[in-house]
Amino acid sequence: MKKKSHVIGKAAGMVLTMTIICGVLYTIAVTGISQLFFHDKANGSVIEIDGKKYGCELLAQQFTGDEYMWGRIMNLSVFTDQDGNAKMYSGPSNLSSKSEEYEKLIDERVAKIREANPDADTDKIPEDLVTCSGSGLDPDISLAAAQYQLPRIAEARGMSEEDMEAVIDECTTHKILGIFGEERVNVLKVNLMLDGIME
Amino acid sequence: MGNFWTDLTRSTLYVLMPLSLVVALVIASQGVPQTMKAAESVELMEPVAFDADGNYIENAEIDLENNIVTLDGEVVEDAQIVTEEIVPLGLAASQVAIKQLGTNGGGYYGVNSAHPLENPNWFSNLFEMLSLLLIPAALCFTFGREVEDKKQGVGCGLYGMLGFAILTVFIAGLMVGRTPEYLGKKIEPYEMKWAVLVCLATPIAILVFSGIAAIVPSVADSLNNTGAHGLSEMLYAYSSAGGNNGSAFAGFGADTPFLNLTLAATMLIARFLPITGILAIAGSMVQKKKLAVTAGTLSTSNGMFVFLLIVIVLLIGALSFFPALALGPIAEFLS
Repeated sequence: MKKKSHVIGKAAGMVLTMTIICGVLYTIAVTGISQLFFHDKANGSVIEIDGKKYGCELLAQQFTGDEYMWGRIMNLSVFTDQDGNAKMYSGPSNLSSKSEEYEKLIDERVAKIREANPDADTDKIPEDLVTCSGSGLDPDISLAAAQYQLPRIAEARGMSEEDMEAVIDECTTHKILGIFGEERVNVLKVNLMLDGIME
Repeated sequence: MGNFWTDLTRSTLYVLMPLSLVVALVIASQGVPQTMKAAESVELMEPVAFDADGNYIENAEIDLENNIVTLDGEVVEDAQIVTEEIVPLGLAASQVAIKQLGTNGGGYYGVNSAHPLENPNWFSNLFEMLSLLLIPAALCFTFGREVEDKKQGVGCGLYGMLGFAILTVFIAGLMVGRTPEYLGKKIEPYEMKWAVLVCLATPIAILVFSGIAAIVPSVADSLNNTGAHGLSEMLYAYSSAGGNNGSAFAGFGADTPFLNLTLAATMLIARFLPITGILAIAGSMVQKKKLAVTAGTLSTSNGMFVFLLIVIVLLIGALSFFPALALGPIAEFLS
């Protein structure tokens, strides 16, 4: 019996020590270093201009107006935080790609995109405009999807297509060394620049 | 066999902790949040409207000043206008690092590395994939060094693989009429019985419980999709529980008494039975005398053995539940 209680005491001590080292010290170290060296990134990459928080660079927002660039399909939900304020969030759909429900949804989205972009360059719709991302929150679209919407936005805003092209160009991230990543356009940044909020 | 306390302390403090620290800092530098603040609220450029049930109203006309939502010219009663988006923060980077290195699932924001805040760009993606594979791949070499035969390491890995290695030695030994031995120790009925249990515990637990779940009527309510996709949802839940994983096929409502109990049972059987088996084999083999390597010894480090091992793994491990798992996606593709 003496041996058994000895092991239990040792085990309890181990759990306590490891909890303090891994649960507290490790977390404090990572938080401290991140806050010191990557302050903006570690706090959610929030776009803050003149003290106002205009969005998160990494999270999509819903855009429906003709004068704005549209992003990936979102499944919006609303919830109330502890202060009683209503907040928007989004998630994935989890529908089987073979289900009738999904087929119907895609048909509706295609019809909507076609109708909204009568002057688009091509009849082939970039697929990222009618599909939801894995998180429902991806902030980027392909360059093709951005250019597809170019005529509509330029007309709605009465600006030249060249100026519009320049804005898209400014918000495009290119492949690194030609292989890493995808060429993509940050939708929120485009719209902030179009509204003149972001330089 | 080593001292438990020494092994636990060393593997945690010398291996897992420094690795986690590096991974956490690298992904935090790419945009994974690491802050004591739980969430941040940001302004929406375009306000959105929801009906009384919390469903998003598409094509709604929003009058912010008067707080009125109209749809096709009609006012929507009890509609809610939302002007802010939530940005979930928290101590994500430090947890995601541990999750990646431990090959766990779920993730900090629920959808694993599909979430932009958990995996912001191509570099974090590459880095997170590498950190998943790092320890399992390194363990092969560790094992080779521990048994003082570097070639052993390349091709073997976790305890599960050791079970398969013993099984392979046995089957190969039977084929050529030699006494099966592994690392200079004889493999006898006692080891074989445990090795078979080690190899079969997971597939049997997954398949038997999935089979039972398929005929329990209440499970149908947990499925998000019907047909082949639904079968995959269910099988995935059991495979995930059995495979030391933490994820679920999104949309699967696993929180029912029946599913909770059977998933927990799968987890216990598929995890602890193999561990018990391997420890039993290790205990029994430690006590055996090491045999001299002769011309009659079946080598476990040449190409022939690797080939045999792969065939056995495919035969027993993959074929046992791969057909059932493949059924869903293939049926879905063909329909």
